[in-house]
Amino acid sequence: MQPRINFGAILRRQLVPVAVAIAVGLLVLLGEFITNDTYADLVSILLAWGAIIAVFALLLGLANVLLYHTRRIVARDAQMPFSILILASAVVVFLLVLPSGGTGDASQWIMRYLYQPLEASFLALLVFFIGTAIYRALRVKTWEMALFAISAIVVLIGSVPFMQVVSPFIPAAREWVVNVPALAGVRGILLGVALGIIATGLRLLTGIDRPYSE
Amino acid sequence: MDSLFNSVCATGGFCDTLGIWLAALLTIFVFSYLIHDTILFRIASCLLIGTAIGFVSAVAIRNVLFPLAARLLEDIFALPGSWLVLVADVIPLLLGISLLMKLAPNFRGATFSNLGLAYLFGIGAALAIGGALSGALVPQLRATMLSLAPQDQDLGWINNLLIVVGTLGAFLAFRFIQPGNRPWQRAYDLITKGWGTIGRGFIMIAFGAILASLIAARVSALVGQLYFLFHDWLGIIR
Repeated sequence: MQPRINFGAILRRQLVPVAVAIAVGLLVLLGEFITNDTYADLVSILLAWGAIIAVFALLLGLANVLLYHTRRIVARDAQMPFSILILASAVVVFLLVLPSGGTGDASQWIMRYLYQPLEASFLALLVFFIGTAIYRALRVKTWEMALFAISAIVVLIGSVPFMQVVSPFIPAAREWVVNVPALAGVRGILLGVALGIIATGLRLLTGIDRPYSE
Repeated sequence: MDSLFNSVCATGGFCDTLGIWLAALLTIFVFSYLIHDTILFRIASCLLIGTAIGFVSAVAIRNVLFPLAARLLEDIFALPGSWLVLVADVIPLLLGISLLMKLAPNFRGATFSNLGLAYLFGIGAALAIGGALSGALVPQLRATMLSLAPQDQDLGWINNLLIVVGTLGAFLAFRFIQPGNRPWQRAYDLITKGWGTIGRGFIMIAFGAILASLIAARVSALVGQLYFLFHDWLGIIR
């Protein structure tokens, strides 16, 4: 017996979301090529809607994190104290920031004495990990790694301010490395990335890839 | 909440002193990871996550959803003349709520909950294509169109040649195509492979330069935090 195909379900689950994605995507993409005030207004409305939906997506992600930690607390997991700390700090910061939306005194205090020191300290901590990573990388003895090391050393030494006094050649060498071979390498990567983005975007806009439908 | 904070912090410098102590302790908590993965480091990590979640969600709700709710109320009070504006404000709200339905795993309206996601993917793809075209592909190609003709004593053409050869080589370094059997196909593959190998060298130079810039930025952050500890907190450095 042939399995029954539920065309109604396929239409609802697949075609409607695909139609929405393609229609919205093509309308916005055409806005890049059409210079018309009415059309530009339409695109700006679609983008404003997108910004609102993106906020909901952000809240969905944050709610998921909070739900995960709530479940850990309910299950009395071994990591429960850390989950309590995350939830408590999130709630306190939320209540302090909500009335002003990030511009009030309380928000500025949190940013200045809580968030920025933590962020800066984590970034500073990376110096040590980058150091060990370089040490490990230099143990791989290939011509590519030799170029990598020479380039890193020249740029690093050339960035030191007093090197101009030691020898004007060192900052000049840094400038040359950054503006010629490194620029060429980055430009080649950027071209590849741009083509990859365009190909992926076109796959989405033609409905070949449908990550949003089940 | 803001007025409560202001009333507590009205007395001269109390909140600033408290803030400096808090920031200094958190900095030490993070640096304690250099000894071992301590509980202090984990406390600092949790505080960073919690603070970020609270801050971002409050700013998003206050700056986007509160104005939307106010607009909706205005539209409702101005009915029936404002029905078109009301519809325009209700659509993103419905699509946004459809996304939140993902939180309910037993919700039986998959089509509805996928609509918001589909809208975001569609708009994201269009913006990405537009950005890649006008922000990366065309400007980078135009910047690579350099003169390779020698001019008098100026040796700039050598640099231009290196940029053109390096850019195309770095691009060809990511070419993974099986060659055909015809002689010209094999010759073409040999050339592109060789050029791609040269390009790999340019990529490694670029990575080295990027890493050096990254180290310089991180060292600057480290110096900043050490200066904060020794100047603002301990007062050892004047």
